[in-house]
Amino acid sequence: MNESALDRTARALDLIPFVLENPGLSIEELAQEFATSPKEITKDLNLLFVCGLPGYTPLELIDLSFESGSVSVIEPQSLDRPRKLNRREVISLILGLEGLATLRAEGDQLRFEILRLRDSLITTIETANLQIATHEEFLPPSPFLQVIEEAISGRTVLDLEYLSGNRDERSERRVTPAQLYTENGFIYLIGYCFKSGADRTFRLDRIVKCARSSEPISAPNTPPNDSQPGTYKALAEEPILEIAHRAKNFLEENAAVLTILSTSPDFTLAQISILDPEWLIRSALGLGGAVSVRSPATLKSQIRDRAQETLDRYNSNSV
Amino acid sequence: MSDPKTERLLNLTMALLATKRYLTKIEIFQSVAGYKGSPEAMERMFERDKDDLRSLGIEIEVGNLDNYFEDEQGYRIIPDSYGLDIGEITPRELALLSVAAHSWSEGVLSKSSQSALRKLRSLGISIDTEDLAMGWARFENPQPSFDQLWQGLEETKTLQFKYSSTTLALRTVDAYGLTLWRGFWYLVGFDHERNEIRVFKLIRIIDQVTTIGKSGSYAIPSDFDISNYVTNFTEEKKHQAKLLIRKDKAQILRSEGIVAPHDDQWDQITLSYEYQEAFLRKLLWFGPDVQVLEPPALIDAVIGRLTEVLS
Repeated sequence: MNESALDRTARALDLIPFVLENPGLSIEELAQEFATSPKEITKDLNLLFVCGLPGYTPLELIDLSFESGSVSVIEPQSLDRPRKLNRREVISLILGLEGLATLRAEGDQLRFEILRLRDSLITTIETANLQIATHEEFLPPSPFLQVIEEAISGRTVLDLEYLSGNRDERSERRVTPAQLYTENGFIYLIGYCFKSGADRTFRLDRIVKCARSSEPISAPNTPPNDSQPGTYKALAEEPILEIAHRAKNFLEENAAVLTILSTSPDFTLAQISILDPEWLIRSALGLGGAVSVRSPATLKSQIRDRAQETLDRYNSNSV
Repeated sequence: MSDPKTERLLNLTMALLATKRYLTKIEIFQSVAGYKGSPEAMERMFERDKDDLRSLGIEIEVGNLDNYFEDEQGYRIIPDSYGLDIGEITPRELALLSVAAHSWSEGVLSKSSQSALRKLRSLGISIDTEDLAMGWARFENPQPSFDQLWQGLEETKTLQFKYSSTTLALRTVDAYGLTLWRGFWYLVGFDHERNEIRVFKLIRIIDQVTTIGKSGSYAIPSDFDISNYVTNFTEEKKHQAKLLIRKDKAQILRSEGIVAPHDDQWDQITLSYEYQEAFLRKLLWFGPDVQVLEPPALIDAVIGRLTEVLS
């Protein structure tokens, strides 16, 4: 079986009804829409141009126009309707809806609408058992989700009170929110932080207050100041870590910032790319000996000092 | 440039869609462009083409022509079984589907939901998400193995993959279900070697997943419920802890328990936790700004871990 012939057939069948309803797009725009290259779209169109119904006179062929740079369908013949959704497409939509629903608290009107739509999609596929599901604990709901979403869609500014993990401090941030995303089971907000003068991410469960800003949006007129909290300089030397086999969770949760250098039966040697050494110092205490810093030496001794200081609390009679 | 196979598949689809009666093979070979060669060769070509179109989800109806030729079969595609019929859908629901389709960041879920969205956009109904006041959310893409696991699950083909748990071993598994829980994807299935249903975290699957055996090599038990498995392996009791926290410090902890002043430098907090391991990591994050008072087992664990760092 020639896989690429099938892929092209599927795309060509979808291309005609799509262009019929969305005429005038360029080949580049269609390529983007169909997640392929302009070259492949041109091939598809050239191919469709010679296809048609039995008889194959100009009256029976598909008629397209695309020389002028914008594509339109003049005669679709029998390909005027989009194909029905396949099982995978329906399941992907169902899972996406479930994800959107779990972001919302019980009783939220939009959550109700989303779940009703999901249920009606489930009835359209043959076996009701999807065998693939999101769990209700997919993500923790946040009380601020709605106000954040309204701010994203309305392009307004939010005033946050935020608990910074690395610095262990409560700070006020004015943020233009851009997008929500999930990682390792947490919801994060990414947005322009006026205080840092750059994009920052905020974990939703660490936002303690969140309100629409009373002040109109204005671009910051002072350049970002590097000494302000929340502004980090990249480390001069990326730390190298020895990660024991039992610290698998650490490897998995930080896969995006770790570069594996070597793997031995006892540990994995990896380079970590982080902005704030404080994060690593704090993490290292909790991980005990399972993750240890091999270099740089300064970081290594900072971790030892912090561990000693913590241990001293238990040795002295300070309670 | 010619692509005879694709061209023939397109012409066949169009002809079978356009016909109002069943077309016989002879009629197809004579009228649809692209069929040539000996009768046997065309026959083989047609059988393959039918399979290919079916693999794309296109249903080809087979029927008897009429009473004239009793045993002569014909073929057609019923437009209503081919075409998208979304039923009664409101513009608001379409907008919700559009947001849902954009929510996967990469991978097969993103690819399939994008193609679903393209089909919806081919219906000629405008999709407007402005009124929803929803932010665009991005969910994590599943691991690369997800696609192969999903395929195996749908075709009920036994799977084999290298899995890293306490040891790195090749596992042979009949997949029963996939689920996303607390940010990670899990596969639940029957493990041949262990002879019982096991849970596998997708991120621990190393390299490629291979399928062994034919489609339908096992059956998923009718009473199988995936939610019984993902929640079971994490059930643990709640424990109580009493801590000292330095004033104005350990901000993230403060909302999790009851805080009372202790002296001019310290507050006291009482809170409960489920997993000692996760709780230890959380406490030690605050270093010398947190001191455990109770329970003694937790104090020992903290001291043990710090001693490990220093050794």
